[in-house]
Amino acid sequence: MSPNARRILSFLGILAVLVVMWEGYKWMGTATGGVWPGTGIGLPVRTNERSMPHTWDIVIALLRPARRGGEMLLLVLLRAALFTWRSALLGFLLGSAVGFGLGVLFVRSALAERGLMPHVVASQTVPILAIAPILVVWAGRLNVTRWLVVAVVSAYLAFFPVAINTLRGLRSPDASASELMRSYAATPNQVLWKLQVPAALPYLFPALKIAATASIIGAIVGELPASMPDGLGRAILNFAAAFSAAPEKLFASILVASLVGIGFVGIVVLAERLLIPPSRRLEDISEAAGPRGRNLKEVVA
Amino acid sequence: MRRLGALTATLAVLVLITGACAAEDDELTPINLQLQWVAQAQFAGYYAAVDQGFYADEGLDVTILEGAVEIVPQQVVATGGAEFGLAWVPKALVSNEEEAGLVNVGQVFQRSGTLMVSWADSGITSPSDWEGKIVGNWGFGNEYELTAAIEKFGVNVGELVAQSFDMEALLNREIDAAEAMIYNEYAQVLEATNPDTGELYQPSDLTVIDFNDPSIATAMLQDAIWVTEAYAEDNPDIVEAFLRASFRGWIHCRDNPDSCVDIVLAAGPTLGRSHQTWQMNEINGLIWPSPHGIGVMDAALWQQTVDVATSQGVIQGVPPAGSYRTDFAQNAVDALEDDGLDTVGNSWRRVTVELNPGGE
Amino acid sequence: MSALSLRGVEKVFNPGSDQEVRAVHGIDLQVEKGEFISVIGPSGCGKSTLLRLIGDLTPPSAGTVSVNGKTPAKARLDRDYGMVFQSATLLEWRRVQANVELPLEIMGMDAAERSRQAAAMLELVQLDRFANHYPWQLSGGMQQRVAIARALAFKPSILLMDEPFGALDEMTRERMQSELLRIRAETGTTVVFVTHSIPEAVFLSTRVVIMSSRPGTITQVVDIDLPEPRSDETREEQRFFELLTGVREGLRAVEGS
Repeated sequence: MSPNARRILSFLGILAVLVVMWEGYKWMGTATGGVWPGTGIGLPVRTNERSMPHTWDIVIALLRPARRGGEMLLLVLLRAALFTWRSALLGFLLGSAVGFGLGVLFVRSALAERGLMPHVVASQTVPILAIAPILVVWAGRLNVTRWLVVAVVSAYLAFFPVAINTLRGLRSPDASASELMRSYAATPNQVLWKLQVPAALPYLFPALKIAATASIIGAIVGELPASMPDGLGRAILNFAAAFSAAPEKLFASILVASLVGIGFVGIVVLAERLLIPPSRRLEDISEAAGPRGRNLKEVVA
Repeated sequence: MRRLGALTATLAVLVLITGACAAEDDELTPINLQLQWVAQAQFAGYYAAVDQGFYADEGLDVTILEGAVEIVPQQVVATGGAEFGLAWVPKALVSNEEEAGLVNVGQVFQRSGTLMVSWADSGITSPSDWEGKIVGNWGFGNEYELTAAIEKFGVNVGELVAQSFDMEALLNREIDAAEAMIYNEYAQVLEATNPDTGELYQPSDLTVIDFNDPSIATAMLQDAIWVTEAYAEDNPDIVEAFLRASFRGWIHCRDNPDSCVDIVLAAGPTLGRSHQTWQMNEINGLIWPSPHGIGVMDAALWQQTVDVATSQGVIQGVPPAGSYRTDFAQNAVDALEDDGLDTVGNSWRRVTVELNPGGE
Repeated sequence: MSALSLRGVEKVFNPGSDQEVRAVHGIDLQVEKGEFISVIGPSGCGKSTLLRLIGDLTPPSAGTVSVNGKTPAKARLDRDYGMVFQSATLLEWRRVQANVELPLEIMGMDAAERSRQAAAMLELVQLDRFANHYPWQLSGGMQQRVAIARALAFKPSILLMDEPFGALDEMTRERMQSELLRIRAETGTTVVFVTHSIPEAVFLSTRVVIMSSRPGTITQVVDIDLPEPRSDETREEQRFFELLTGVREGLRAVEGS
């Protein structure tokens, strides 16, 4: 079986397991009246139709009109997803560029790394929910188009993994490779573009995959304070408000949001396949840390 | 003489043309309106005024800023992020004690939309019935009508619990009474399926306690239009123009509710149609009739709001005179009446809205 | 003018701290153009440091290094050095040809000229058939030959080699040694060659420099008067074995001290 077929099968397999777990839990809760079998201990999540609609009801909801006389929910959500993805894509590109730039800055200047790295790390401990409204207010003062503001919120989440892994990747060449470049009297820019950047590419892609999903999350979160009526953020907000009466729509929008994330990561994977030969690919971020690589903590310290 | 007349006429035409051109060239005054929440029928009148060109007719280019969890409209107005903002009266008064310097120029909602909803089988029909019961509330300043009613009736509720902004706790019978807006959460219960019957819950399954009820009378005034005192002083013409156009919008929504639902649905692609139709109907119920004309403050209701707010410790003292002004709204109402519009709405009647599952 | 001249060269790492290490001390050495000098000695004797001092990868703490009459820094900027390390250090994302072209690219040579030169170098190391392979498709010995081709591509006047065959098996190693001699005969490059292996040093060199450790200093320089050109038969000659013994005794004296 080809690795691709295996990958698709394992994805479908895990999806099936999740569906079975969902439905199994729901069935158990319905059968026992909401407690763990043989105990009086309540289940953490209610199993009624309002809290946990059947998985097929979620799929059916996608195919039904979103509202009376309106379009199919799936279409409405896909349009919203496309809208959100526009901000996310820009945020992803912006964040990746900033992350890459920071990585280059840090590898060039130990002073910049010492001074800025703590702030870069701290930036990710500030909840995006707190950052987003501030950015929206600032942008409002500057008369910036709102979807660009959303892109900035999205970039705020996307830049971090890229910065960390770019730095790690730029540092990945052996000392002897750097000495070789020195013996050629290469300029710092030549060292960067002929040695460090190509060496960093395999490290960059796992980070870009994380940045892709983070940029979607950032865009959805950013849409709320930015009051974007057309994106997934608003869809989730409105369907969450109607959760008591129509929970399956909220789950359907979450489903579409995650599909958008998967699709975005898929695009990054495709780019990786085109740019990085198989022998140089790092399968996941933990491998990027590598046996001889530094782990995140060390890089940060 | 004839030639002079012709010349004068030509000049007059020229002046008229250039005047018209000048009027056309005159840029509309850009105005921001900050809502408390995202697009929904609660704000239909303003969306209608944009859609129908009422603001543009008054020389205003109004941008509607939707709300979000973190956005407090009266703060946005106080800090210059918007010229006009919507806020509940007690919340704006709290901000004024923090020197927001806001003035209420149009009291659009003439009554409170807050209800306490219970299951019919719990037999709760008056605040006295909360004795020993678990009563939910939203907090964040949304609970004072409730706490005032509890005090007024001397009830010992079993427990006063925090309730999320939905009806899950009531639907799951975790609480006996739940706070609900008549135009939102109350409808959500009626859009949910009763697992016993497989049908939607019916109003007969529920009892409601309405704070507007004269026997309770702890209702506080809600959606009103606020500007800073300085803005009102400096731009009285804009304030009046804004009110005229906004009131026109609300009158349009009273007389053409379906058109306004369509306008709102266009602004919020993921909103349910039947839910918004319900909301439009109930919002009209909060506005109409407006005994003194739409937007003109009822002094007695202001007093009741202030009394409840002070008794509940929401505000520390009685707000100064000038916290609301009726002159702008009164002028707007007079102008609209002159145009032959009904600004009182005595003939408005609530219609029956059929809700669909999930508010679709 | 000597290709290389070291006078009173000293290198102290972490001077003044309690981790102070005197890596090399009192080094005096003259190397003429076209010579092949091997540096041999026990681990930690500073032979790699010596190479790095010559190649301007680290500055001396005292003394002077002069390369073709210039400072090492000037010599490096003039691209007088070709370097080969124990690991081939090929850039894995570049094909063999592109790896050899790397220094030429950095020096700003135009594409056609660079391609011609790299091809010639690959022919020299007999890897022209592998120009379009990636490094990972090559054996260790082949990779090291690519590294040599790359080091020679820009015709440096001095080749600095730090245990270049250290990681290869014995058979490959001997083949590589013959290869290196052939290449040197063709190019006339001066070579400074650090190694652990006595037969390697003797077989390749015109002179073998023996170093002692703590502090790293030159204890003996053995002239290798084996006839040229050298070949596999050279390894069977009586003189070869005598020179092996001489170098071994010189090293033993150092290790015993």
